[in-house]
Amino acid sequence: MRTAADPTTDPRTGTPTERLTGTGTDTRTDRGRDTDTSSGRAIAATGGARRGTAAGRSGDGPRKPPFEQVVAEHGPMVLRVVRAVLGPDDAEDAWSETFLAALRAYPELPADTNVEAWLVTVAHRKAIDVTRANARRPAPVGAVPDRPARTGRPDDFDPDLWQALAALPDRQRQAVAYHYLAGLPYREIAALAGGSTDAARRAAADGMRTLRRTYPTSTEEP
Amino acid sequence: MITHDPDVPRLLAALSASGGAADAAVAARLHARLVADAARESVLDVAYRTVDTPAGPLLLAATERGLVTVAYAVQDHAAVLQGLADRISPRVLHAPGRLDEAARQVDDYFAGRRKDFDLALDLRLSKGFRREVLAHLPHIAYGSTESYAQVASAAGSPRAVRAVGTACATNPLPVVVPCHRVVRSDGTRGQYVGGAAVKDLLLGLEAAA
Repeated sequence: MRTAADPTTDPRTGTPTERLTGTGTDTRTDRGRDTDTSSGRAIAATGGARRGTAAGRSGDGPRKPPFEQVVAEHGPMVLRVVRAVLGPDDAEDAWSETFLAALRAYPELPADTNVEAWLVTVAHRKAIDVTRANARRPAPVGAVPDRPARTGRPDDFDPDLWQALAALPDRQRQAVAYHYLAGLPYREIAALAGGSTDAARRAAADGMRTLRRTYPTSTEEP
Repeated sequence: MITHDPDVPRLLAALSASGGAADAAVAARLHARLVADAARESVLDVAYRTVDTPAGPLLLAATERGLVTVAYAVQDHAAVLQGLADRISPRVLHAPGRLDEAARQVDDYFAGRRKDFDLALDLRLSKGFRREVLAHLPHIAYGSTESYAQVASAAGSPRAVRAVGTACATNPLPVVVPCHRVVRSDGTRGQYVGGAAVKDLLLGLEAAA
């Protein structure tokens, strides 16, 4: 089956996913669209392109960009991933925990680390923490609507989509998010979530197949 | 099996699009929360913001000790931030609130309402003789100037005139540490980290006030 599950192609850009094994410099151009260029925050984000040439006193080797640049470049991707894995209610907590943990660890991170894959790893762990914390909470009493009204939250993403995602087994939901939203190769997903590369590929394919059926198109939906 | 399933782009678009325009508000909210969390846990090593002035946008950056950098646009703010990441810590975040007081004093200075800065300064980016020079500069009164030679003497090394020039050129805190008040012995203004025109602007501002 060669549709969504084609393992050799980044589904967003059509470029080979192997780029993720590099230092991440080749992802800069296609991440640029995610940065907010309307505020001072974008200053750091524009520094990436000249990272190699900017005059510096710290000497050799790759230089670690200001963390602000990491947030600008990868924050939107991490938010999409945690929304897909956890749903809109817990996504912002997971995002905040992920970036706070990443900020804390950032000075010790080797400068040639693939930051994008590293962030997904941190986000994966934080998502597990959030899921466990929820499991310890008392179960809701009585019948709860499928999707409670979420008034005053205009930024919620499509509740139908989350409902369809929530119905997937965890492995499939993770594989879909990490491959299709974060661009992680299947072998990295396997390393992260356990199991074999083939199993990760199958989980993503199965997840997408189910979503095709369970996530209605707007024309089908009344 | 279908080779080009039209549903795949549809699903990817749905997964990626999420909140649409509202995502900017979410991003701003998450960023503010990250700054607050980082400050509370003392992992916000360098906070920065920009402030608009008649001399163009100024970058202000502070550590927990105090203001550490002021930079003109011609110095390339992105490069300056990278330098702070290299030399102090890569835990650098855009955190305007941490620099509100500095921004207010800079505003007041450019409006002619302030003659001295009252800010905690972190001088760690300047060492040795350069730091001695910077320590002397605030003693040059608002509206007056000293020559490079006078500053060299005041800093204890009368022959180090060129070194004073270097100290001024590498001043990490221009405007706040007033290297613009150091001019050539013949009375011409000399060079400036923000450009000669900006030095004229600052000296003119102080002469008029």
